[in-house]
Amino acid sequence: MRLASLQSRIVVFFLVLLAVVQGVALLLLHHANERNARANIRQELDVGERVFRRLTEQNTARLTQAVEILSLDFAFRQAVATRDLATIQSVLLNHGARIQADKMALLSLNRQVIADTSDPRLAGRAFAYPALLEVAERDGRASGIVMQGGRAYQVAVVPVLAPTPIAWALFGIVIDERLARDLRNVSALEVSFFGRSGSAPWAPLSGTVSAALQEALAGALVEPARALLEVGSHEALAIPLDTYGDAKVVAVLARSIDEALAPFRQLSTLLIALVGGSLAACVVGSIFIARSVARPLSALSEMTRRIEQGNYAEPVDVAGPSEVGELARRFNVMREAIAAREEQVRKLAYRDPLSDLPNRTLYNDRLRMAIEAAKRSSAELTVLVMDLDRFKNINDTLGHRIGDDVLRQVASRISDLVRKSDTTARLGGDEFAVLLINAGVDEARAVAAKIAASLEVPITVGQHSLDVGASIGIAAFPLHGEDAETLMRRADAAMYAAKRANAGVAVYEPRTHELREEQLSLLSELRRALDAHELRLFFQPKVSLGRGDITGVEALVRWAHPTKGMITPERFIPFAEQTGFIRTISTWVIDAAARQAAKWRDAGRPLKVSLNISVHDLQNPQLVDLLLGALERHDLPAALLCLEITESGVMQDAAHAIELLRRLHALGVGCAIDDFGTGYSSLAYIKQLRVDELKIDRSFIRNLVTDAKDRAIVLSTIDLAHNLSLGVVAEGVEDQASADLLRELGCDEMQGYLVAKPLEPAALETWLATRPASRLLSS
Amino acid sequence: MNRPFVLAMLSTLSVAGVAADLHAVVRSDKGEPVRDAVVVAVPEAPVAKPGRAPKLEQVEQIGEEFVPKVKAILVGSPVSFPNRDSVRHHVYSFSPPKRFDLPLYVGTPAKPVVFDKPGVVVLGCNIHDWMIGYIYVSESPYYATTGADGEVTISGIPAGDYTVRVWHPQLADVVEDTRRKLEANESADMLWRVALKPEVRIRRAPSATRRGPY
Repeated sequence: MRLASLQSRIVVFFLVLLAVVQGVALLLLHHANERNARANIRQELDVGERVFRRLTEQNTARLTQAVEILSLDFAFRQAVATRDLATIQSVLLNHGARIQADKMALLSLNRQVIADTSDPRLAGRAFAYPALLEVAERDGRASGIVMQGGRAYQVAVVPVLAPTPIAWALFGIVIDERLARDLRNVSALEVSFFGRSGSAPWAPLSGTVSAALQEALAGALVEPARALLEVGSHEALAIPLDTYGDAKVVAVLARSIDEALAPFRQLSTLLIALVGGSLAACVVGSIFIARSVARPLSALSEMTRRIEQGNYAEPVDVAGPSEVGELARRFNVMREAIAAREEQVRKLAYRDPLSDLPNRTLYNDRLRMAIEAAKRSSAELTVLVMDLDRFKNINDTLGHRIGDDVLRQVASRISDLVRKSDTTARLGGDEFAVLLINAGVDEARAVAAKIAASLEVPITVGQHSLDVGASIGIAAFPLHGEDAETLMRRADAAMYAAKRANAGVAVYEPRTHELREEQLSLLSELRRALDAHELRLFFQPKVSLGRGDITGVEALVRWAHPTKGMITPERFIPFAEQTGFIRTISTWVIDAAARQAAKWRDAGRPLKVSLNISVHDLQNPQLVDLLLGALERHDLPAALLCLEITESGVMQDAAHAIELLRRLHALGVGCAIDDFGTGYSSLAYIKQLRVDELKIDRSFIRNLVTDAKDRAIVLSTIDLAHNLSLGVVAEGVEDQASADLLRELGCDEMQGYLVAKPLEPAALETWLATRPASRLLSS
Repeated sequence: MNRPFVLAMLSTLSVAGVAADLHAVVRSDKGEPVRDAVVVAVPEAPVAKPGRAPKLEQVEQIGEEFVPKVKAILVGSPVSFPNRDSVRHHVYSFSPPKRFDLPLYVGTPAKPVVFDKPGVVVLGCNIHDWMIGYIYVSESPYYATTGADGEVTISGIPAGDYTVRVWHPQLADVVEDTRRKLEANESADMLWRVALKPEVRIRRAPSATRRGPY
């Protein structure tokens, strides 16, 4: 709409401009023409007057010459001298005929008419125009206009000399259409003659004009004086003629204004046509120009709409003026750039850049769509989730580049084993998923088996031949779930089950895998929790049973869940250990503990901080590096850290544990056996463990006062430790009686709610500051 | 009206002899002498012994002009018109006292023209329109033509009563006759003041004969 208005504005602007300019020009021209035409008419009339006078002079000269010739004719003179009237008449007629004179007369010297060819009755009468003869007597000749019988004559009179004047000879021609025609032929003027006697009205005599115009001109005449008249559409010039007698004769030259204007009008018409033509051309031209601007703009506007809707395919085809064309080219370039970038973004959003497989997002999308389709067609589909069994080792030991290569090869192996219509995706890390459309559990199991088998074949990267292996979980729609999340979670659960069972492939089984599912959801929350700083370290003090002073604190991880409140480690550490996430948690715990220990050290209150190390941590080859890194990062002496290793942990890989503890000991990091008494540890191993203390499991302390057996176990454990030169710490001490008993039994230290529950650093500091030094001792 | 003013003066001088003389002076109304004026004394009673008899007169054509321009002759006199020019002339007259024409001739026409009636005869030439000449045919033998001084004397007029007339080609009006008694031996002086018209003449054509003697 706006473009259309741009177009119409351009058109209207040029139209109005042109119309105004040409209108003014026309107006000016019209006035100039009118003025010119009138000036021309005046000039023509002036010229006409001169021509007219010249014509009359010529006529006079002709008449005079003719009558002179007559007057000198010997025979004529003879006839006149002898008053031979018959001869006179015939000579007059003869000579008159030569010049087509209309009136030939002979007058006596005493002004009487001797003969008159125009009216024989005049013979013998006095000549009616004596003034004419007076002039002739004076000048030897005379000429002029006379009125006779309602007609005007132009006459010339000369004496008949023999050789002295003996008579007057007179020739005259009627002033009629001939003279008017002569004038008309040379001047384009209409001529008419008017006469009147005395003060009678002017009567038209002759002329080339219409009767109506003649009448109008007669009406306009006033005095026999030279005057310009405007009569109707004619401009006229009245020229009085030299008239003898009481009659007056006026010649009127008239010029038709219309006729004079005709060439100008023609010009005007031509110009108006030209104006019309140029206006039309202007309309067409400016519409064309406007379109050539507005149309490409519309096209560009249309293109932007397409781009807005995500259609980048069609280029805009614009062949406008260079500026617009350039704009269009820019638009096309921009469109292509946007398309390329969007493709890139889409790829990044939906593709795993490493393997070029669909990523989790795209996989989930397709899964949801496939489920919708399957619901409509009552079809089946299955999801496979797989995890490489030994990938972490590869990544850790051979580096990411080789790890990435392994992942790419795994991706291509999986892709090769599924149909094109199925989707293989890399969900992240070493986790892959396959979506099998229209496939039931059995088919899925077959595909999974093929995949597992193909991944059993070692992968070669460079000179390495790597054995990855995979665990695959299968969940089917609608058997195991009716939505994408459920299906994925259950396939995940099945996958973990497969891994645990070292079975390669497992199909989801509701009863077996239900709990695991919850844990899995917990795990994903745990991942988030770490990022959201929901994990906190609490510290529970250990006190010396002998002196009652603080010997150190045990760092305990707590999960400050936003909705579930504080979650104790028993509820999330086990499956963190199972899933391997414990490694991440341990890394965080080591760093956080070291940082806190350093803080206290810096505050002038050094506290030895003990950490719980899981079995998984023990198997982590980087554990020592992690510790060293943390110590270094926080500039903490190794003596301020102590690692607590469960007895069961030690027993899982005793050799490794012995070696690790030896190394830690060498570094100066303290070590303790945690939960002692629950791990069926071999005393042979214990003696090899380079630890500083044993921590007696709370299960033996809880009923210490009442249960003699527990008492015996505790006592013998204390003895054992002391005999191995290890300190003994009792955990979970909740009442003063137990504390007293433990002191009696020779236990070195204790920790538990009796002393203090695990406290956050700030609370611990407060507790330390307000603690009565010997409260525990004064029982 | 410019009436001619005639003044007759009687001379106190007595001249011996029977005849009288008439000394005529003709002046224009502006006082200028009038040449070629013809003065005629016509006796009222027949004169016994006229002063002269008709004789051959001549009017020449010289340089395409009549010479003299005005010629007074006694009635009955023959006049020859000798052509002194190398071109031909065609002398004519349509005047009532004598109509004649002498068609194209050179030299002197063989036959003189006899002017047998008194009156003024205007001469023209049909070839040369400007040529005008006058022959005054007098009934009385006592006539003369004034010279360049406008004066002339008529001698030998017998005493007696006379009617004296003056004529000139350009007279505006007819001059009234003057009655005069001439005594023997009288020398009468007469003066006329006359009004003259401009001469109406056709312009001369350039003349071959006047081109000079190459």
